[in-house]
Amino acid sequence: MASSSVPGVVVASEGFAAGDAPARMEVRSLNAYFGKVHAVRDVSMRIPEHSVTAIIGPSGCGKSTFLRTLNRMHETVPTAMVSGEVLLDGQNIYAPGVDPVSVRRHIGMVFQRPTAFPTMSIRGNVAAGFGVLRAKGEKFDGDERIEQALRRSALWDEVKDRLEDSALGLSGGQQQRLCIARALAMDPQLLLLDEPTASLDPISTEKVEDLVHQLRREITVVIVTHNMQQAARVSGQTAFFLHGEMVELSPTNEIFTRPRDERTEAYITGRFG
Amino acid sequence: MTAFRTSPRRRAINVFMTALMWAAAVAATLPLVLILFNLLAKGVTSLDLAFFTHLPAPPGQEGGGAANAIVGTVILVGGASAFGLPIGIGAGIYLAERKGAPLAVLVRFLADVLNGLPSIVMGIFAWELVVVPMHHFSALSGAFALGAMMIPTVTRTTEEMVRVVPTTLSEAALALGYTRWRTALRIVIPTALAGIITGALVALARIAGETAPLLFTAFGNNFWSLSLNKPIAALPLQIFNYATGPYDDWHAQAWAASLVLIALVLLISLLARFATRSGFSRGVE
Repeated sequence: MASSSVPGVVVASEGFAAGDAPARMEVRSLNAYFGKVHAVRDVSMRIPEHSVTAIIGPSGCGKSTFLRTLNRMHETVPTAMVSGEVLLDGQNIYAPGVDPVSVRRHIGMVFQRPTAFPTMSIRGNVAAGFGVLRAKGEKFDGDERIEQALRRSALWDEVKDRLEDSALGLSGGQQQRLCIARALAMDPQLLLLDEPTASLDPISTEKVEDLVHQLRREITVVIVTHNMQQAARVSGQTAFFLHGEMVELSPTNEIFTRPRDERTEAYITGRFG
Repeated sequence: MTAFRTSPRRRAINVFMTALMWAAAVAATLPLVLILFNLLAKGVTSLDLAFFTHLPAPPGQEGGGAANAIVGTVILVGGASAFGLPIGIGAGIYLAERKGAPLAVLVRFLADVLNGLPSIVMGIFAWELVVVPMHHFSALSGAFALGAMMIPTVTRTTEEMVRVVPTTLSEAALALGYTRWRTALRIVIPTALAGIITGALVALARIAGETAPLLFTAFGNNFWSLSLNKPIAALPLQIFNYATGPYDDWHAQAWAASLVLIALVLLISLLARFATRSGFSRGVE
């Protein structure tokens, strides 16, 4: 098998060894179903703290479904089912008695298309999750937290003078960063990004990628992407999914230069998908 | 280059069809224009300040107005909304949230049946349910009949409007740790609000002109009454009584009342239009 590399892919420079950092999340023998369709098959994965994990694979390979099992969003769809364990900081989020609503509060999620709430201002959007926190009895300075979240999502300078304006006045890329800010404002233990740049132009995409790269220092990110270059640019480890199975999980610089499985190699060299 | 030229036959068909569509469009709007014109011509002459401020004059006496009927219609429509809107909007949200549940399918079907129910039947229903136990006609029974008529329309429009809200928005809310209930209340309903209000106003406009459900419920009243417990006057009833009466000045009053009623309905429709426009530009796209 010839060693391969993807044309145009620049691998994130710093080395990465899975197993160095303590695990933020540990997935064990996870299966997900839609009715009788077995969408994710027996996936186990270790997600180290302060890292970016990319999930790549062709359409319909189960990568988004897998992501949605990590914060119990999968089961919001009728007929959806999950088996297996997902440990967040050692605690199984599928254990009996665990409230899925409170799980989601600790895990941020950003979707393919920007989902700014249309009836809310920019400030209102960032603070949208606060009500749930306050209902739980947490006390904090909302304004400070909003500013911090917007700064962390690199949006503060662009919106600081119009926090009360409708969020729909922002561009698509800004709206997507607003959604990231909204998730960050909840101070999540883990951030899930489901193809966050799929509907964005190249410049906005670059901004979001830079942001993900920055965030890696502070939090743990799992990003599903169609775009292999993106996986290479932002992630420390990459998982390749095919037909619901995880074919390979390797440090990103290895998977794009020395894939262990020939199906991975076929995919990243563009022979299918 | 004959290849790019339309054949004369095709062009003729095009002209003919275009003319046909224009004719259809004119035929469709003509009745409304004629009605409005006729109403204006006959109604304006008998419309004066007294019409809005005075009670109906006793038979054979000139003058008088329909102040009690105007206020009565407002009370009836308000009373109908007070219970028709919450039930209709609540049921609509339920249908949108629980699309395929057996109860939802049943409720949706019943709402459609109820929507096609002749209004006179609704009148009998209200008579049996409210007038008979109370032993007399009342504004309450009229409001009940009209409110019941609103429910199916409001239910279905609310359902449609809530469904138009992208599911990605509710998913985003759920992912933030919102419960289903909170998601509906804080995200989905506010986003659909403009549409829901429009639906409510359209339903209001529809029931404001209903006569049949009021015939043996609100009954009409020649005197001043604001009580829900007593028979009350209403514009459609006034029109019915005056138009079928023997006196010329009654006929004139009927025209004037028609004009006021139409103006009221038009006003509500315009409000509905306005709500849609201002709401949807920043709401659902």
